[in-house]
Amino acid sequence: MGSSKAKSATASGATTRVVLPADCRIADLPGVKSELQAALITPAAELDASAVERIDTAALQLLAVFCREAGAKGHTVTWLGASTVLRDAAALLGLTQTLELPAATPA
Amino acid sequence: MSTVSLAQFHQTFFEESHEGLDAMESALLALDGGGDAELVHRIFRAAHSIKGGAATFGFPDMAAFTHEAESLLDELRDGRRAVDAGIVELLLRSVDCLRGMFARAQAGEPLADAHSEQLRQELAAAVGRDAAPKPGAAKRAEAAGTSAWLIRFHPHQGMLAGGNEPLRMFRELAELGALKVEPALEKLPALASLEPSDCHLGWTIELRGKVARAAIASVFDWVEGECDLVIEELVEAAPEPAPVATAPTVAAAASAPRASREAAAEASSVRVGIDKIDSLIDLVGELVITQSMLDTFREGFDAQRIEMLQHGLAQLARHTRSLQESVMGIRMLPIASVFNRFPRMVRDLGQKLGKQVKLDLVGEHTELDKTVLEKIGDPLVHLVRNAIDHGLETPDRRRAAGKGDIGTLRLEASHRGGSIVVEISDDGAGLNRDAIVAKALQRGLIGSAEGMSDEAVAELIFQPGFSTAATTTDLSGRGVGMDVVRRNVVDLGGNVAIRSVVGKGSVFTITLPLTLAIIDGLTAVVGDEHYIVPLASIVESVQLRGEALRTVTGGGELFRFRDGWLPIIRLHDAFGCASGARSEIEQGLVIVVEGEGARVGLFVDELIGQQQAVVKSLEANYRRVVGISGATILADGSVALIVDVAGLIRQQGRRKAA
Amino acid sequence: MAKILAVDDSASMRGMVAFTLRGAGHDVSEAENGQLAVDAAKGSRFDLVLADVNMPVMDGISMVRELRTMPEYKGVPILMLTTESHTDRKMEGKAAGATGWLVKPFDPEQLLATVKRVLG
Repeated sequence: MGSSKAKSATASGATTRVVLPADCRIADLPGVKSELQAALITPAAELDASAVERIDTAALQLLAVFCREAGAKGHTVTWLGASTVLRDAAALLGLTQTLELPAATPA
Repeated sequence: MSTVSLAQFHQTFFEESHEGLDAMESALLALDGGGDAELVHRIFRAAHSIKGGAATFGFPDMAAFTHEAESLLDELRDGRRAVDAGIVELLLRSVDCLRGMFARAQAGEPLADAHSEQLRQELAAAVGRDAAPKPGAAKRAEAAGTSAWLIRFHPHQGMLAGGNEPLRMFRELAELGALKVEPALEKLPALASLEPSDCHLGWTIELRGKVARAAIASVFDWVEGECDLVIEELVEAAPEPAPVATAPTVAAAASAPRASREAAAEASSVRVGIDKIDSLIDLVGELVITQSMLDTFREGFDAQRIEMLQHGLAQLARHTRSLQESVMGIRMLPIASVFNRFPRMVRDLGQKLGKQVKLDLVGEHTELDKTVLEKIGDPLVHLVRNAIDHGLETPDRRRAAGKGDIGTLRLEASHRGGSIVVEISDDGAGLNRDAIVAKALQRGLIGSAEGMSDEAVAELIFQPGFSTAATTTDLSGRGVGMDVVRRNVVDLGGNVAIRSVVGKGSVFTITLPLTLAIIDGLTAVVGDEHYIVPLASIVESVQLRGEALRTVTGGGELFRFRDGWLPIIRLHDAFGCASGARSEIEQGLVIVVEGEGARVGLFVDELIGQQQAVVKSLEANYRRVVGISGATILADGSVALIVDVAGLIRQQGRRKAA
Repeated sequence: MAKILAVDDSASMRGMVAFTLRGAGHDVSEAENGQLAVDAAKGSRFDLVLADVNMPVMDGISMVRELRTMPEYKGVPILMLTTESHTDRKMEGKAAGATGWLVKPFDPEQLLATVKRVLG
C-alpha cells in the first residue's frame, strides 16, 4: 500500500482512498475528517483501517457520520481492510451495521 | 499485602509531613495577625496532604484527626466561617497534636491517645458536626440483583473530550452480563459541521445477567452530570432503592493494617535538591576526565610534557576542591528549619508574660551544616526565651522608658567569611550592670567590680551558676544558665558574645563554623607525633625567651603575653608523648589559644604548616579522649590528632583545682 | 505499556503512585505541581494523567483546564486524586474537564484497577 499516515487520501478518477492512522483517536481526528470530506466529493470511497491499533468513540462517530452521508448521496464505501481493534470497538458501540463493515474481510 | 511495598514511603511521608506541619504553623501564626486567602489555602493544602498520606500509608487515626481539622479549614476557605483567635489557637494545638502522632508513628506506637481524641472531638464540634466516630467503610447496597436491565445512555456533547470513553463503560458492562447495544443516530450532524471531539451519539443498552443496580451505576459514576442516564428494570423484580451514580468505592479505611515496626525505625536522612546532585555528577565527570588525562603519563614521560602534567595536577586540585565543597553542600540546610519554631514560641511566651513582641526573622535561607543545625536549636531557644523574659519590658515599662508598646526581637543569620553568624537582638532594657555585679559578688564570682569594663561585667553572665532573674520564672529557669549556652556553642566550634546598651537593648552574637566535617588547622609537631590545632582557636604563636617565663608553686608554668601572664600546657605532657619531644620551652614554640573564655599557651616542638583536615571521629573508631576532638589523615597517610582546645583548658582547670 | 504522568506535591504519594505503576510496567513521569505537569505534557504525549487536587503553584483543577485547551489532550483521561469529603471539588474538577477521580486513600491494587479501567 505504501500510504503514509499523514498524506493518505489518494483520489484516482472517481474513487478516493482514505487510510486511517494507527492511532485513530480524538486528537488525531481533524486530519482524518478533512480526508473524509475530500472522499465525500467522489462517487466512491475506499477506507483502509487495517493499520488501526487504537480507536475511540469519537473516531467511530466520525466514520459513522461519513458512511451515513455517503450512503445518502448514493456513493459507495468500500472497506479495504479493518483491524480487529476497529471491528471490536464498532461492535461494542453497536455501529457495525452503520459502518457497513463486512462480516469478514481479509486484512 | 500492599503494606509491605508502602512501608518504603513512610519515611518520606514523615519528612514531608513535618515540613507541612511547620508550614501550617507559620501560616497560622501569620493568619493570627490578619490573614489572606492564600494563607488559608496553604494551611488547608498541608492538612489535606497529611490526611491523604495518613490514610494511604495506613495511619487511620491520624487521617481521622486530620479530617476534622481539614473540614474546619474548608469552612474557612469557603468563607463560611471567619478566622478568629479561637480557631487559630485550636488549629495550632492540632499541629502540636499531629507532631505527637508522628513521633508515635515513628516509634511504632499507637497514634491516638486521650488527648488527641479529645482534640479531635473539639475540632468536630467546631465544625458543627456530630463528633461520633466516622464509620470506617462505605456500605455497598448489594441486593440480590435483577436479571435484566435497560440502560438509556445519552452523553452530553463534551463527554468525550473530558476523557470518558463509552467503549470503556460498555466493556465494563459486558463484564457484568450479556449486552445488546442499540445506537441512537438521530442527532448525528453533517460531516462538514461535525466537531470530531463532540459527542452526538446515544445508546440504549440491554444488559442481561444477575446484576445489582449499584454495579451498573458505578460504571457511570464519573459521568454524572455529563450525560442523561436512565437505568430501568426490564423484567419484574424486587425494587432497588439505590439511586444512580452514588456508589463510593471506598473500602480500605476500616481495615488499614498497622505499619510494620522496621519501617518505623528512623533513619537520619537529608533531602537534597536535584541541582546539588547534578553539580556533583558534573564534577565527578570532570574528575574522570582529568584522571584519564593524567593516566596518559603512565605510558611514558619526558621533560617536554611536564607542563601538561602540571596543568593536569592543577586541574585535579581544582576539581577535588570543588567536589569537596559540593559534597559538603549536601549537608547544608537552611536555618529556616530552626527559625521556624520561634514565631510560635515568641507568641506563646509574649502572651504568658504580658509582653508584646514583634519577631523579625532575617536570613532564614542561610545554610548550615546539618549537624550544627541540629545542635544550635537549644542554645537559640534559650537566648530567645532569655531575651523575652529578661530583655524586653512590659508595655507599661516601655512606655515609661519612652518606647513603643511593642518590643522587637530580631533573629538574623548570615555568612561572614568562613563562619555563620546568628544574632539575637532585642530593643529591651539592656544588661543591668549593677544587678550583674551584685549577683557576681554574692556568688563569689568576683571580689570587686572595681575597674571592670562593661564588657568584662557582661561576660560574667556566661559564668557557671550565674542568673540575674530576681524570681526564677519557669521560662528562663529550668536550671540552665548562659554558661550552658556558651558551652553548647563552643562544643560546636563556635562562640557567643554579647553587646548591650542600657535602655536600648542587647545583641547576642553566635559565631559558628560552616561545617563540623572539615576544620582549618595548624599542624604542630610534638615528638614523633603530629597534632592539628584548629585555626579558629589560635590567637598567635610565639617563640619564648627565658625572661618571659615564670614557674609558680605547684609546678605550673606561666609566660608573659601582652599585658598578662598565661599558663602553659605542654602538649607532650598532656598527651603523654614525651618521646623525642623538646623539653626546653625556649627551643620550641608556644601557640596562644583561646577557649572557654580563657587563654593558654600550648607548647609544641614546631609548626609545619596550615591545612584543611577532614575530621574523623575518634569516638566512632576508638573512644572518647579528653583534649582530643578527632583525628585526621595526613598527606603521607599517617594519623594526626585534632586538639580540643576547650576540653584541654577545662581539664587543665580541673587539674589546677585538684 | 502506557505513558502516565503522576502529579502530586507530596513526594510520598507521588512515589507510591509512580512505584506502583512502574511495577505494572508503565512508563511513568512525575511532576510536583500543575505547572510542571503542563510543561511536561507539552513535551510529551501521555496516555493518562493522575493529579492531586490541592497543590502549590498550580492546583489540579487549573491544570486540567490548561491541559484541555491543548488539542492533543482532548479526550486523554485525566484522573483527580481526591478525598471523598470534597464532592464539590470533584464536580469542579469535572467541570474543568477531568475524566474521573480516584478517592484517597487508595492502595496499589485499587490504583492499578482504576488505571486498567481507564486505559482499557
